[in-house]
Amino acid sequence: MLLTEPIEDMTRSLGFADLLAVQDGAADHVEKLLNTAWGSTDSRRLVVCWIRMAMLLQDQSAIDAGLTYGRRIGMEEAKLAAVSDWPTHELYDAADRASLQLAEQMVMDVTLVEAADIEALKTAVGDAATFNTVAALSVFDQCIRLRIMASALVVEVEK
Amino acid sequence: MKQHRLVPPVAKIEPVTDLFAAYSPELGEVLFSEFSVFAMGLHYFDRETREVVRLRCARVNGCDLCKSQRWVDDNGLPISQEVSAAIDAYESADLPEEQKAALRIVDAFLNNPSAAADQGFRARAYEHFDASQILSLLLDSMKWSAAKIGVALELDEPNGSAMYFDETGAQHILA
Repeated sequence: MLLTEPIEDMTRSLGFADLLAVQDGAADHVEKLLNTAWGSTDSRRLVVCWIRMAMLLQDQSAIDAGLTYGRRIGMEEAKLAAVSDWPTHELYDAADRASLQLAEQMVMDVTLVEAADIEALKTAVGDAATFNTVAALSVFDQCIRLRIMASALVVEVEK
Repeated sequence: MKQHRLVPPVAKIEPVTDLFAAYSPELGEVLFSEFSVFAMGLHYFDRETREVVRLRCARVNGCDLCKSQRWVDDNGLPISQEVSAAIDAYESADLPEEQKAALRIVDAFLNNPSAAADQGFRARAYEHFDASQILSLLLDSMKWSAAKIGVALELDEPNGSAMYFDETGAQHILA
C-alpha cells in the first residue's frame, strides 16, 4: 500500500482534480501551492485557521477536510469543536488567537489588519513564523474561494 | 517591446518577495514562479480585459502597490484612463458587456463566493464564457489576490511601475 502524507490526502480530498479538470495542470498547481503553504509553518495552528476561514466562506467540504486533517495529526477534538469560540476558549493560546484574528481579517477585509495585529503574532511566534502564517492564510483564502467558485461555475451541473 | 529595458525578476520591486526569500523561499517559488506563471500563461482574454480584472482585484483588496501599477501592451501603453476610471462603477459604465460579465465573476470571488451557487448567476456567466474562460478568470483573481500578503504587512507602498507578461506567463517590469 502506498503511504501518503496527511496533508496531501487533505488537499486531494478538496476535489481540485475534478473541479479544475477543464484546464490541464491547474489542479496540480493549486494542490502544490496549498501543500507548500501548509508546510510553511505550524500545521496545528494553521488547521484552526483553515477551519475558521472555511466557516466564514461557507464551504462545508473545506471545513470537513480541515476537521479530518486535524484529527489525523492528533489534535484535541474539543479544540477542533471550539473554533468559533477562539477569542475566549481556554484551549486557544496567544499564538492561536493572533493567527485566527488575521485569518478572519484575511477573509472579511484585509485592510482592517493593523500593525498591532501583526505585532501580537510576532510576539507569540517570531518574525519568520509570522510572515509564513500571513502567506499561508492568503493561500488558504484564495484556494477556498477557488473551490467554492469552481464548484458552482466550472464543473458541469446535473440537469 | 525591445525599446524597453527589462528588469527581471519581479523581486526587484515587490517588497514581499524579499521576505519570501528570507523566510519561505519554497512557498515564494511555488506562488510567484510556478502558480503565477501558469495562471498568466493562459490566454483566454485580451490584455485589456485582464488588466480590468487586475485593477478590480487591486481596488477591492485595497492594495496600494497594485493600484499604482500598470499592465502595458506591446507598445508600452496602459489601458485608457477612461476604462480604468470606469471599473469602480462598472455596472453603469460604458464598458463591453464581456468585461462587465468578467467583473461580476471576479466580484463574487472577492466578496461573496457562495453567491456563485445561484443558478441564475451561473447561467449569466455562461452567456458570455465557457468553463475554461471562467476558470482563467478565477485563477487571475487568485494570482492578484496574493497581494493580500503585502496589504496585511503594510508592504504595499505605491511604485507606479509598468509590467507585462510574456507568452509563457512570466512577468517583466519596465525600467
